[in-house]
Amino acid sequence: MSESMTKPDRATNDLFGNVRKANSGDQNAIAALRTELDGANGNAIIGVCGDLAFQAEESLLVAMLGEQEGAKTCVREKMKQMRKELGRDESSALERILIERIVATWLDLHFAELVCNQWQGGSIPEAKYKQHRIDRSHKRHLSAIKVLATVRKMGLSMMVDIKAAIHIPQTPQESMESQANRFAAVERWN
Amino acid sequence: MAWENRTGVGLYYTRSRRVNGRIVREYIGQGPIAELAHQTDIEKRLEREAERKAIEAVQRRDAELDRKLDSFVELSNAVTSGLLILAGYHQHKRGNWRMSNERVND
Repeated sequence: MSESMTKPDRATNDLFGNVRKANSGDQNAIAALRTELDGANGNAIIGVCGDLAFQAEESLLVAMLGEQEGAKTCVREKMKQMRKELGRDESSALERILIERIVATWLDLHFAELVCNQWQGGSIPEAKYKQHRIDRSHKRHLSAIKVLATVRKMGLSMMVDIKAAIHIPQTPQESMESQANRFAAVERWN
Repeated sequence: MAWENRTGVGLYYTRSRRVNGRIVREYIGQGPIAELAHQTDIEKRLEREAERKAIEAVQRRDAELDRKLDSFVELSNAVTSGLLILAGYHQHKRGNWRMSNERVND
């Protein structure tokens, strides 16, 4: 593995490999997975998820609304409302990440539809591209909803304990702080 | 679009386009009408190029947004799959999650 990768990158890359192997019944991979997702390690990975969600949402907001801070505040408020409706406050750390995924993919779908509606009188390749983008976003959004439904149906959060009150950053300042804390935590376990 | 040099006639403007998969050449002629057709063709070409560049810029921006969103989606998928596996499930042929046999027999 490349030396230039950061420790959280390495941890997440190992996770992808172990999930693949563990799904085919590899006991060593299952043991490794348990180490990776338990306690502080699990918290750090969930923390990485939170940061990635925040970055994706902020980039979408900037692409969608540019410097219109008022409009951004309205969309952020709508996202907050969605999180509440999906039961974020009463959910486990994993469910909160999945709720964040639904919100982020909703924003992406909303943006794709907005671009499609604003882009009037284009050529056939343009129209095809717009439609393809909407289809892709729609698929991603449905998949996000399905994963949360699966986790809730199986009562996964009851069976697997990720011991933490994970806080998903809501501002760039919080994102930077949580990233610094996570790097410090990863330094401690390695 | 091209100016053809005809012996004894001089420059002659022609325009090629595709009709049902075949190239058809339209002969415009000489003089002010040919000049006007030439200018119109240049303007149309520039418009098409600007349109193509605009689509490319949008595609580049979308690719960057997709990259950010996909890294979050992939990681959240991996965490969820990992936790489901630890809870005794396995994913059958990339489809539904099923309780593993050992766990069912417990």
